[in-house]
Amino acid sequence: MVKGLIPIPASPLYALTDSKGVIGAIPGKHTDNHYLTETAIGTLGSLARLYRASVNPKAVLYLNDASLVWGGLFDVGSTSWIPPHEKHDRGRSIDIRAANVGGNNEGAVPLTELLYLITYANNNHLRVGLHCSESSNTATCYGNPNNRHFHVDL
Amino acid sequence: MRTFIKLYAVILAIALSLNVQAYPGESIVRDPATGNYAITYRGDPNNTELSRTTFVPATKIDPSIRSRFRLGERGIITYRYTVSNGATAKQAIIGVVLEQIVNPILAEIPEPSVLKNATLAEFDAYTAAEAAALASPIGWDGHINRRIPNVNWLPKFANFANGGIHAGGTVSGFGFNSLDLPGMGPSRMAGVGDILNFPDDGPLDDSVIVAELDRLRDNDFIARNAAVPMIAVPSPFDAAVLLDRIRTQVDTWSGKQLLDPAYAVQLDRYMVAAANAYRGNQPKIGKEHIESVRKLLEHEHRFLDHDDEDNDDTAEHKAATRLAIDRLAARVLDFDLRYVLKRIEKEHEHDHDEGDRRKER
Repeated sequence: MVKGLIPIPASPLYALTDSKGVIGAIPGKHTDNHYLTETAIGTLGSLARLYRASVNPKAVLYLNDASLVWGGLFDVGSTSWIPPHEKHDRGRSIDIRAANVGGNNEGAVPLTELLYLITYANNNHLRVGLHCSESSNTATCYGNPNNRHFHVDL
Repeated sequence: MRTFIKLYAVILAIALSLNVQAYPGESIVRDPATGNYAITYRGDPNNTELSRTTFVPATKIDPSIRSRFRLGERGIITYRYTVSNGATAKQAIIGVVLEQIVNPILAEIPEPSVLKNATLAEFDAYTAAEAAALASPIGWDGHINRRIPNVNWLPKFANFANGGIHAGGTVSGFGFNSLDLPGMGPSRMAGVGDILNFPDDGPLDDSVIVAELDRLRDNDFIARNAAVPMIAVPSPFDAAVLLDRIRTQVDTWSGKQLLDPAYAVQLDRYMVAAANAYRGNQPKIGKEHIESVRKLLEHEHRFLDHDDEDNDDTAEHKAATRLAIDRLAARVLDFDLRYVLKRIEKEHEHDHDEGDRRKER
Protein backbone atom coordinates (compact mmCIF):
# COMPACT_ATOMS: atom_id res chain seq x y z
CA MET A 1 0.00 0.00 0.00
CA VAL A 2 1.32 3.44 -0.91
CA LYS A 3 0.02 6.37 1.10
CA GLY A 4 -0.41 9.88 -0.21
CA LEU A 5 -1.33 9.18 -3.82
CA ILE A 6 -3.68 11.76 -5.28
CA PRO A 7 -5.79 11.80 -8.42
CA ILE A 8 -4.21 13.44 -11.45
CA PRO A 9 -6.14 16.71 -11.73
CA ALA A 10 -7.82 17.71 -14.96
CA SER A 11 -5.67 19.98 -17.12
CA PRO A 12 -5.81 21.40 -20.62
CA LEU A 13 -2.35 19.85 -21.18
CA TYR A 14 -3.49 16.23 -21.21
CA ALA A 15 -6.51 13.99 -21.51
CA LEU A 16 -7.62 11.45 -18.92
CA THR A 17 -10.56 10.33 -21.04
CA ASP A 18 -11.13 9.65 -24.71
CA SER A 19 -14.30 9.12 -26.70
CA LYS A 20 -14.72 5.70 -25.01
CA GLY A 21 -14.45 6.99 -21.44
CA VAL A 22 -11.63 6.86 -18.88
CA ILE A 23 -8.43 5.88 -20.70
CA GLY A 24 -7.18 2.51 -19.55
CA ALA A 25 -10.16 1.74 -17.35
CA ILE A 26 -11.18 -1.93 -17.43
CA PRO A 27 -14.65 -2.57 -16.02
CA GLY A 28 -14.56 -5.28 -13.38
CA LYS A 29 -10.80 -4.96 -12.90
CA HIS A 30 -9.98 -1.33 -12.33
CA THR A 31 -11.57 1.93 -13.34
CA ASP A 32 -9.80 4.33 -11.01
CA ASN A 33 -6.34 4.23 -12.54
CA HIS A 34 -5.06 7.80 -12.51
CA TYR A 35 -3.34 8.24 -9.14
CA LEU A 36 0.23 9.50 -8.60
CA THR A 37 2.36 11.17 -5.98
CA GLU A 38 2.20 14.96 -5.89
CA THR A 39 5.79 15.21 -7.15
CA ALA A 40 5.10 12.86 -10.04
CA ILE A 41 2.05 14.90 -11.04
CA GLY A 42 4.17 18.08 -11.12
CA THR A 43 6.73 16.37 -13.34
CA LEU A 44 4.00 15.02 -15.59
CA GLY A 45 2.65 18.58 -15.97
CA SER A 46 6.09 19.80 -17.08
CA LEU A 47 6.37 17.01 -19.64
CA ALA A 48 2.92 17.81 -21.01
CA ARG A 49 3.72 21.53 -21.14
CA LEU A 50 6.89 20.78 -23.10
CA TYR A 51 4.88 18.71 -25.55
CA ARG A 52 2.53 21.61 -26.17
CA ALA A 53 5.28 24.24 -26.23
CA SER A 54 7.88 22.50 -28.36
CA VAL A 55 6.26 19.72 -30.31
CA ASN A 56 2.61 20.22 -31.09
CA PRO A 57 0.70 23.24 -29.76
CA LYS A 58 -2.64 21.71 -30.71
CA ALA A 59 -2.09 18.30 -29.17
CA VAL A 60 -2.39 16.94 -25.66
CA LEU A 61 -0.97 13.79 -24.15
CA TYR A 62 -3.45 10.95 -23.65
CA LEU A 63 -2.78 9.41 -20.24
CA ASN A 64 -3.32 5.73 -19.73
CA ASP A 65 -2.71 3.82 -16.49
CA ALA A 66 -0.82 5.44 -13.65
CA SER A 67 -1.47 3.80 -10.25
CA LEU A 68 -4.50 2.75 -8.26
CA VAL A 69 -5.55 4.85 -5.26
CA TRP A 70 -3.52 2.78 -2.78
CA GLY A 71 -0.82 1.85 -5.27
CA GLY A 72 -0.02 -1.85 -5.21
CA LEU A 73 -0.54 -4.49 -7.82
CA PHE A 74 -2.31 -3.38 -10.97
CA ASP A 75 -4.58 -6.28 -11.76
CA VAL A 76 -4.84 -6.07 -15.53
CA GLY A 77 -3.31 -9.34 -16.67
CA SER A 78 -5.09 -12.43 -17.85
CA THR A 79 -4.36 -14.08 -14.50
CA SER A 80 -5.68 -12.26 -11.42
CA TRP A 81 -3.25 -10.68 -8.96
CA ILE A 82 -0.18 -11.35 -11.00
CA PRO A 83 1.72 -8.66 -12.88
CA PRO A 84 2.27 -7.47 -15.69
CA HIS A 85 2.07 -3.73 -15.33
CA GLU A 86 5.49 -3.36 -13.86
CA LYS A 87 6.31 -0.29 -11.82
CA HIS A 88 2.70 0.90 -11.70
CA ASP A 89 2.42 0.06 -8.02
CA ARG A 90 4.16 3.07 -6.47
CA GLY A 91 2.51 6.17 -7.90
CA ARG A 92 5.57 7.24 -9.84
CA SER A 93 4.93 5.78 -13.29
CA ILE A 94 2.43 6.44 -16.03
CA ASP A 95 1.69 5.24 -19.54
CA ILE A 96 1.18 7.74 -22.34
CA ARG A 97 -0.51 6.61 -25.49
CA ALA A 98 1.82 6.30 -28.51
CA ALA A 99 0.98 5.55 -32.14
CA ASN A 100 -0.22 1.95 -32.49
CA VAL A 101 -2.25 -0.26 -34.74
CA GLY A 102 -4.85 -1.22 -32.17
CA GLY A 103 -8.18 0.36 -31.41
CA ASN A 104 -6.67 2.76 -28.90
CA ASN A 105 -4.95 5.18 -31.22
CA GLU A 106 -6.99 8.27 -30.41
CA GLY A 107 -4.67 11.13 -29.36
CA ALA A 108 -1.58 8.94 -29.60
CA VAL A 109 1.86 10.56 -29.89
CA PRO A 110 2.99 10.02 -33.51
CA LEU A 111 6.09 7.95 -34.21
CA THR A 112 7.98 11.01 -35.47
CA GLU A 113 7.75 12.61 -32.04
CA LEU A 114 8.89 9.70 -29.92
CA LEU A 115 12.64 10.32 -29.92
CA TYR A 116 12.19 14.01 -29.18
CA LEU A 117 10.09 13.32 -26.09
CA ILE A 118 12.52 10.68 -24.92
CA THR A 119 15.48 13.07 -25.31
CA TYR A 120 13.67 15.70 -23.28
CA ALA A 121 12.88 13.07 -20.68
CA ASN A 122 16.54 11.98 -20.50
CA ASN A 123 17.66 15.58 -20.05
CA ASN A 124 15.32 15.76 -17.09
CA HIS A 125 16.25 12.46 -15.44
CA LEU A 126 13.06 10.66 -16.38
CA ARG A 127 13.18 7.08 -17.56
CA VAL A 128 11.07 6.55 -20.63
CA GLY A 129 10.63 3.33 -22.51
CA LEU A 130 8.34 2.33 -25.30
CA HIS A 131 6.18 -0.63 -24.35
CA CYS A 132 3.78 -2.80 -26.23
CA SER A 133 1.46 -5.30 -24.69
CA GLU A 134 0.52 -8.77 -25.80
CA SER A 135 2.87 -8.49 -28.73
CA SER A 136 3.40 -11.75 -30.55
CA ASN A 137 6.86 -10.64 -31.57
CA THR A 138 9.14 -10.92 -28.56
CA ALA A 139 11.91 -8.93 -30.19
CA THR A 140 10.41 -5.57 -31.03
CA CYS A 141 7.78 -3.04 -30.24
CA TYR A 142 8.24 -1.34 -33.61
CA GLY A 143 7.09 -4.24 -35.71
CA ASN A 144 4.08 -5.18 -33.65
CA PRO A 145 2.91 -1.97 -32.07
CA ASN A 146 -0.09 -3.40 -30.31
CA ASN A 147 -1.29 -1.09 -27.54
CA ARG A 148 1.99 0.78 -27.80
CA HIS A 149 2.65 3.39 -25.15
CA PHE A 150 5.37 5.35 -23.42
CA HIS A 151 6.07 4.07 -19.99
CA VAL A 152 7.45 6.99 -17.98
CA ASP A 153 9.02 6.74 -14.53
CA LEU A 154 8.41 10.23 -13.16
CA MET B 1 34.45 -23.39 -11.18
CA ARG B 2 34.90 -22.60 -7.49
CA THR B 3 35.04 -18.88 -8.36
CA PHE B 4 31.87 -19.21 -10.41
CA ILE B 5 30.06 -20.91 -7.53
CA LYS B 6 31.19 -18.19 -5.13
CA LEU B 7 30.06 -15.49 -7.56
CA TYR B 8 26.69 -17.16 -8.06
CA ALA B 9 26.28 -17.49 -4.29
CA VAL B 10 26.99 -13.79 -3.81
CA ILE B 11 24.51 -12.81 -6.55
CA LEU B 12 21.90 -15.12 -5.05
CA ALA B 13 22.48 -13.72 -1.56
CA ILE B 14 22.10 -10.15 -2.84
CA ALA B 15 19.00 -11.15 -4.78
CA LEU B 16 17.42 -12.75 -1.72
CA SER B 17 18.29 -9.87 0.57
CA LEU B 18 16.76 -7.36 -1.84
CA ASN B 19 13.67 -9.47 -2.47
CA VAL B 20 14.54 -9.81 -6.13
CA GLN B 21 14.76 -12.76 -8.45
CA ALA B 22 17.45 -14.04 -10.74
CA TYR B 23 15.23 -15.47 -13.45
CA PRO B 24 17.00 -18.12 -15.52
CA GLY B 25 18.38 -16.86 -18.81
CA GLU B 26 18.14 -13.16 -18.04
CA SER B 27 21.15 -11.07 -18.95
CA ILE B 28 22.47 -7.70 -20.05
CA VAL B 29 25.44 -8.14 -22.34
CA ARG B 30 27.47 -5.37 -23.96
CA ASP B 31 28.57 -5.96 -27.54
CA PRO B 32 32.14 -4.64 -27.67
CA ALA B 33 31.88 -4.07 -31.43
CA THR B 34 28.84 -1.80 -31.35
CA GLY B 35 28.78 -0.66 -27.73
CA ASN B 36 25.11 -1.67 -27.57
CA TYR B 37 23.58 -3.82 -24.86
CA ALA B 38 21.58 -6.95 -25.62
CA ILE B 39 18.92 -7.38 -22.94
CA THR B 40 17.26 -10.72 -22.39
CA TYR B 41 14.57 -10.84 -19.75
CA ARG B 42 11.41 -12.47 -18.59
CA GLY B 43 8.55 -10.14 -19.43
CA ASP B 44 5.57 -12.29 -18.55
CA PRO B 45 5.13 -13.86 -15.11
CA ASN B 46 2.93 -16.58 -16.60
CA ASN B 47 5.37 -17.53 -19.29
CA THR B 48 9.01 -18.56 -19.07
CA GLU B 49 9.66 -17.51 -22.65
CA LEU B 50 12.26 -14.75 -22.69
CA SER B 51 11.91 -11.40 -24.42
CA ARG B 52 14.72 -9.47 -26.00
CA THR B 53 15.54 -5.87 -26.71
CA THR B 54 18.59 -3.71 -27.41
CA PHE B 55 19.73 -0.70 -25.47
CA VAL B 56 21.64 1.71 -27.70
CA PRO B 57 23.47 4.10 -25.35
CA ALA B 58 23.55 7.81 -26.11
CA THR B 59 27.21 7.98 -25.13
CA LYS B 60 28.84 7.45 -28.52
CA ILE B 61 29.92 11.07 -28.49
CA ASP B 62 33.13 12.94 -27.67
CA PRO B 63 31.89 16.12 -26.01
CA SER B 64 33.74 19.09 -24.58
CA ILE B 65 32.28 22.24 -23.09
CA ARG B 66 33.86 25.65 -22.67
CA SER B 67 32.54 28.03 -20.02
CA ARG B 68 32.64 31.81 -20.17
CA PHE B 69 31.43 34.08 -17.37
CA ARG B 70 31.58 37.83 -17.18
CA LEU B 71 30.55 40.31 -14.51
CA GLY B 72 28.38 43.09 -15.85
CA GLU B 73 26.28 45.89 -14.48
CA ARG B 74 24.46 45.55 -11.13
CA GLY B 75 26.25 42.35 -10.25
CA ILE B 76 24.75 40.41 -13.16
CA ILE B 77 26.97 37.58 -14.33
CA THR B 78 26.61 36.43 -17.93
CA TYR B 79 27.25 32.72 -18.42
CA ARG B 80 27.85 31.35 -21.89
CA TYR B 81 28.82 27.87 -23.09
CA THR B 82 30.28 26.39 -26.24
CA VAL B 83 29.84 22.67 -26.85
CA SER B 84 31.92 20.64 -29.28
CA ASN B 85 31.75 17.06 -30.49
CA GLY B 86 35.01 15.29 -31.39
CA ALA B 87 35.70 14.23 -34.96
CA THR B 88 35.52 10.56 -34.02
CA ALA B 89 32.07 10.76 -32.41
CA LYS B 90 29.57 8.26 -33.76
CA GLN B 91 26.49 10.19 -32.66
CA ALA B 92 25.43 13.84 -32.80
CA ILE B 93 24.97 15.56 -29.44
CA ILE B 94 21.28 16.27 -28.88
CA GLY B 95 21.20 16.79 -25.13
CA VAL B 96 23.12 19.52 -23.26
CA VAL B 97 22.41 19.74 -19.54
CA LEU B 98 23.89 21.96 -16.83
CA GLU B 99 23.21 20.50 -13.41
CA GLN B 100 23.05 21.88 -9.85
CA ILE B 101 21.76 25.33 -10.72
CA VAL B 102 19.86 25.68 -7.49
CA ASN B 103 18.79 29.32 -7.48
CA PRO B 104 16.60 30.92 -10.13
CA ILE B 105 18.44 32.49 -13.03
CA LEU B 106 17.57 36.04 -14.04
CA ALA B 107 14.16 36.57 -15.64
CA GLU B 108 13.01 33.11 -14.54
CA ILE B 109 9.46 32.91 -13.21
CA PRO B 110 7.88 30.09 -11.17
CA GLU B 111 6.51 27.30 -13.33
CA PRO B 112 2.72 27.00 -13.17
CA SER B 113 1.43 23.67 -11.93
CA VAL B 114 -1.38 21.40 -13.01
CA LEU B 115 -1.90 20.88 -9.26
CA LYS B 116 -3.01 24.50 -9.02
CA ASN B 117 -5.28 24.29 -12.04
CA ALA B 118 -3.03 26.49 -14.18
CA THR B 119 -4.57 27.65 -17.43
CA LEU B 120 -3.16 27.37 -20.93
CA ALA B 121 -2.45 31.10 -20.89
CA GLU B 122 -0.34 30.66 -17.74
CA PHE B 123 1.58 27.75 -19.25
CA ASP B 124 2.20 29.69 -22.45
CA ALA B 125 3.38 32.74 -20.49
CA TYR B 126 5.83 30.52 -18.63
CA THR B 127 7.11 29.02 -21.87
CA ALA B 128 7.71 32.53 -23.26
CA ALA B 129 9.50 33.61 -20.06
CA GLU B 130 11.63 30.46 -20.11
CA ALA B 131 12.72 31.19 -23.69
CA ALA B 132 13.51 34.79 -22.78
CA ALA B 133 15.56 33.81 -19.71
CA LEU B 134 17.76 31.41 -21.63
CA ALA B 135 20.17 32.07 -24.46
CA SER B 136 19.84 29.28 -27.00
CA PRO B 137 21.74 28.74 -30.23
CA ILE B 138 19.72 28.97 -33.44
CA GLY B 139 17.81 25.74 -33.85
CA TRP B 140 17.85 24.84 -30.15
CA ASP B 141 15.31 25.15 -27.32
CA GLY B 142 16.25 25.65 -23.69
CA HIS B 143 14.37 24.48 -20.61
CA ILE B 144 14.59 25.10 -16.89
CA ASN B 145 13.85 22.29 -14.49
CA ARG B 146 13.53 23.38 -10.88
CA ARG B 147 12.89 19.86 -9.58
CA ILE B 148 16.31 18.42 -10.46
CA PRO B 149 17.44 21.30 -10.65
CA ASN B 150 19.03 21.90 -14.04
CA VAL B 151 18.98 23.94 -17.23
CA ASN B 152 18.97 21.92 -20.43
CA TRP B 153 18.81 22.28 -24.20
CA LEU B 154 17.84 20.10 -27.12
CA PRO B 155 17.45 20.81 -30.84
CA LYS B 156 14.11 22.25 -31.87
CA PHE B 157 11.58 19.66 -32.91
CA ALA B 158 11.44 20.99 -36.50
CA ASN B 159 15.09 20.11 -37.14
CA PHE B 160 15.45 17.41 -34.52
CA ALA B 161 16.02 14.59 -36.98
CA ASN B 162 19.08 16.27 -38.53
CA GLY B 163 19.97 18.68 -35.76
CA GLY B 164 22.39 18.46 -32.91
CA ILE B 165 26.14 18.83 -32.87
CA HIS B 166 27.59 16.40 -35.37
CA ALA B 167 31.08 14.89 -35.24
CA GLY B 168 33.69 17.63 -35.52
CA GLY B 169 31.07 20.33 -34.91
CA THR B 170 30.90 23.18 -32.40
CA VAL B 171 27.88 25.16 -31.26
CA SER B 172 28.06 28.34 -29.16
CA GLY B 173 25.41 30.41 -27.50
CA PHE B 174 24.02 28.28 -24.67
CA GLY B 175 23.64 30.39 -21.56
CA PHE B 176 21.77 32.64 -19.13
CA ASN B 177 22.37 35.43 -16.63
CA SER B 178 22.55 35.00 -12.88
CA LEU B 179 23.41 36.90 -9.73
CA ASP B 180 25.17 33.83 -8.29
CA LEU B 181 28.92 33.34 -8.55
CA PRO B 182 30.28 30.38 -10.49
CA GLY B 183 31.24 27.09 -8.94
CA MET B 184 32.23 23.85 -10.60
CA GLY B 185 29.19 21.81 -11.54
CA PRO B 186 28.61 18.81 -13.74
CA SER B 187 27.33 19.18 -17.24
CA ARG B 188 26.07 16.18 -19.14
CA MET B 189 25.83 15.60 -22.83
CA ALA B 190 23.94 12.87 -24.65
CA GLY B 191 23.89 11.69 -28.23
CA VAL B 192 21.25 10.19 -30.45
CA GLY B 193 20.62 6.86 -28.79
CA ASP B 194 17.64 4.80 -29.75
CA ILE B 195 14.21 4.40 -28.25
CA LEU B 196 14.41 1.68 -25.66
CA ASN B 197 11.47 -0.44 -26.64
CA PHE B 198 10.02 -3.56 -25.09
CA PRO B 199 7.62 -5.96 -26.75
CA ASP B 200 5.80 -6.12 -23.39
CA ASP B 201 5.92 -4.31 -20.06
CA GLY B 202 9.66 -4.88 -19.74
CA PRO B 203 11.48 -6.95 -17.12
CA LEU B 204 9.46 -8.03 -14.10
CA ASP B 205 9.76 -5.67 -11.12
CA ASP B 206 11.41 -8.28 -8.93
CA SER B 207 14.08 -9.22 -11.49
CA VAL B 208 17.71 -8.51 -10.64
CA ILE B 209 18.28 -6.96 -14.03
CA VAL B 210 15.83 -4.10 -13.37
CA ALA B 211 18.30 -2.28 -11.14
CA GLU B 212 21.12 -2.88 -13.60
CA LEU B 213 19.05 -1.59 -16.51
CA ASP B 214 17.93 1.46 -14.51
CA ARG B 215 21.56 2.19 -13.69
CA LEU B 216 22.47 2.02 -17.39
CA ARG B 217 19.63 4.34 -18.29
CA ASP B 218 20.34 6.79 -15.46
CA ASN B 219 23.95 7.08 -16.58
CA ASP B 220 23.27 7.37 -20.26
CA PHE B 221 25.32 10.53 -20.80
CA ILE B 222 28.89 11.84 -20.77
CA ALA B 223 29.73 14.23 -17.95
CA ARG B 224 32.09 17.19 -18.13
CA ASN B 225 32.88 19.95 -15.65
CA ALA B 226 31.43 23.38 -16.30
CA ALA B 227 31.32 26.69 -14.49
CA VAL B 228 27.73 27.18 -13.34
CA PRO B 229 26.13 29.61 -10.88
CA MET B 230 26.32 27.89 -7.50
CA ILE B 231 27.35 30.47 -4.90
CA ALA B 232 24.68 32.91 -3.71
CA VAL B 233 25.93 36.38 -2.83
CA PRO B 234 24.62 37.36 0.64
CA SER B 235 22.30 40.33 0.79
CA PRO B 236 23.19 42.64 2.41
CA PHE B 237 26.71 42.00 1.22
CA ASP B 238 29.02 40.34 3.75
CA ALA B 239 32.52 39.51 2.53
CA ALA B 240 33.22 36.99 5.31
CA VAL B 241 30.02 35.04 4.64
CA LEU B 242 30.68 35.04 0.89
CA LEU B 243 34.24 33.81 1.43
CA ASP B 244 32.87 31.00 3.63
CA ARG B 245 30.51 30.02 0.80
CA ILE B 246 33.35 30.07 -1.72
CA ARG B 247 35.40 27.86 0.62
CA THR B 248 32.49 25.42 0.91
CA GLN B 249 32.41 25.19 -2.89
CA VAL B 250 36.19 24.76 -3.18
CA ASP B 251 36.01 22.02 -0.53
CA THR B 252 34.14 19.85 -3.04
CA TRP B 253 36.84 20.10 -5.71
CA SER B 254 39.35 17.63 -4.33
CA GLY B 255 36.71 14.92 -4.57
CA LYS B 256 36.16 15.84 -8.22
CA GLN B 257 39.89 15.57 -8.96
CA LEU B 258 40.02 19.29 -9.70
CA LEU B 259 42.36 20.21 -6.91
CA ASP B 260 45.40 18.65 -5.27
CA PRO B 261 44.56 18.15 -1.54
CA ALA B 262 47.88 19.61 -0.33
CA TYR B 263 47.40 22.66 -2.54
CA ALA B 264 43.81 22.94 -1.28
CA VAL B 265 45.11 23.26 2.29
CA GLN B 266 47.31 26.20 1.24
CA LEU B 267 44.41 27.96 -0.50
CA ASP B 268 42.07 27.35 2.41
CA ARG B 269 44.50 28.74 4.97
CA TYR B 270 44.53 32.10 3.18
CA MET B 271 40.79 32.12 2.59
CA VAL B 272 40.05 31.43 6.27
CA ALA B 273 42.44 34.21 7.22
CA ALA B 274 40.75 36.56 4.74
CA ALA B 275 37.27 35.77 6.07
CA ASN B 276 38.45 36.27 9.66
CA ALA B 277 40.05 39.58 8.73
CA TYR B 278 36.80 40.86 7.21
CA ARG B 279 34.91 39.64 10.25
CA GLY B 280 37.33 41.58 12.42
CA ASN B 281 36.82 44.68 10.28
CA GLN B 282 40.37 44.56 8.87
CA PRO B 283 39.68 44.89 5.13
CA LYS B 284 43.28 45.69 4.20
CA ILE B 285 44.52 42.42 5.70
CA GLY B 286 41.60 40.56 4.15
CA LYS B 287 42.55 41.89 0.73
CA GLU B 288 46.17 40.83 1.21
CA HIS B 289 45.10 37.25 1.98
CA ILE B 290 42.85 37.17 -1.09
CA GLU B 291 45.73 38.40 -3.24
CA SER B 292 47.87 35.61 -1.77
CA VAL B 293 45.35 33.06 -2.98
CA ARG B 294 45.31 34.68 -6.42
CA LYS B 295 49.12 34.52 -6.58
CA LEU B 296 49.01 30.81 -5.80
CA LEU B 297 46.53 30.35 -8.64
CA GLU B 298 48.60 32.45 -11.00
CA HIS B 299 51.57 30.24 -10.31
CA GLU B 300 49.62 27.33 -11.81
CA HIS B 301 47.83 29.03 -14.71
CA ARG B 302 48.33 32.24 -16.66
CA PHE B 303 45.74 34.84 -17.67
CA LEU B 304 43.12 33.70 -15.21
CA ASP B 305 41.43 37.10 -15.33
CA HIS B 306 40.72 36.70 -19.04
CA ASP B 307 37.18 35.56 -18.39
CA ASP B 308 36.36 34.82 -22.01
CA GLU B 309 39.24 32.47 -22.61
CA ASP B 310 40.23 29.19 -21.14
CA ASN B 311 43.14 27.90 -23.17
CA ASP B 312 45.93 30.30 -22.42
CA ASP B 313 48.24 28.17 -20.34
CA THR B 314 51.90 28.23 -21.29
CA ALA B 315 53.25 25.33 -23.29
CA GLU B 316 55.12 24.33 -20.13
CA HIS B 317 51.89 24.25 -18.16
CA LYS B 318 50.06 22.38 -20.86
CA ALA B 319 52.84 19.82 -20.95
CA ALA B 320 52.76 19.31 -17.18
CA THR B 321 51.34 15.92 -16.35
CA ARG B 322 49.70 17.17 -13.20
CA LEU B 323 48.84 20.66 -12.09
CA ALA B 324 47.75 21.54 -8.58
CA ILE B 325 44.40 22.84 -9.82
CA ASP B 326 42.31 22.38 -12.94
CA ARG B 327 42.44 25.44 -15.17
CA LEU B 328 38.68 26.06 -15.22
CA ALA B 329 38.50 25.63 -11.43
CA ALA B 330 41.33 28.15 -11.07
CA ARG B 331 39.49 30.61 -13.35
CA VAL B 332 36.32 30.16 -11.31
CA LEU B 333 38.06 30.74 -7.98
CA ASP B 334 39.98 33.74 -9.30
CA PHE B 335 36.75 35.22 -10.65
CA ASP B 336 34.96 34.69 -7.33
CA LEU B 337 37.78 36.31 -5.36
CA ARG B 338 37.96 39.28 -7.73
CA TYR B 339 34.21 39.67 -7.25
CA VAL B 340 34.70 39.84 -3.46
CA LEU B 341 37.39 42.51 -3.88
CA LYS B 342 35.24 44.54 -6.29
CA ARG B 343 32.24 44.43 -3.98
CA ILE B 344 34.29 45.48 -0.99
CA GLU B 345 35.72 48.37 -2.97
CA LYS B 346 32.22 49.37 -4.04
CA GLU B 347 30.87 49.13 -0.47
CA HIS B 348 33.84 51.20 0.70
CA GLU B 349 33.12 53.89 -1.93
CA HIS B 350 29.47 53.85 -0.90
CA ASP B 351 30.45 54.35 2.77
CA HIS B 352 32.72 57.24 1.75
CA ASP B 353 29.96 58.90 -0.24
CA GLU B 354 27.54 58.52 2.66
CA GLY B 355 30.13 60.03 5.03
CA ASP B 356 30.75 62.97 2.68
CA ARG B 357 27.02 63.60 2.43
CA ARG B 358 26.69 63.59 6.22
CA LYS B 359 29.55 66.11 6.51
CA GLU B 360 27.89 68.41 3.95
CA ARG B 361 24.70 68.37 5.97
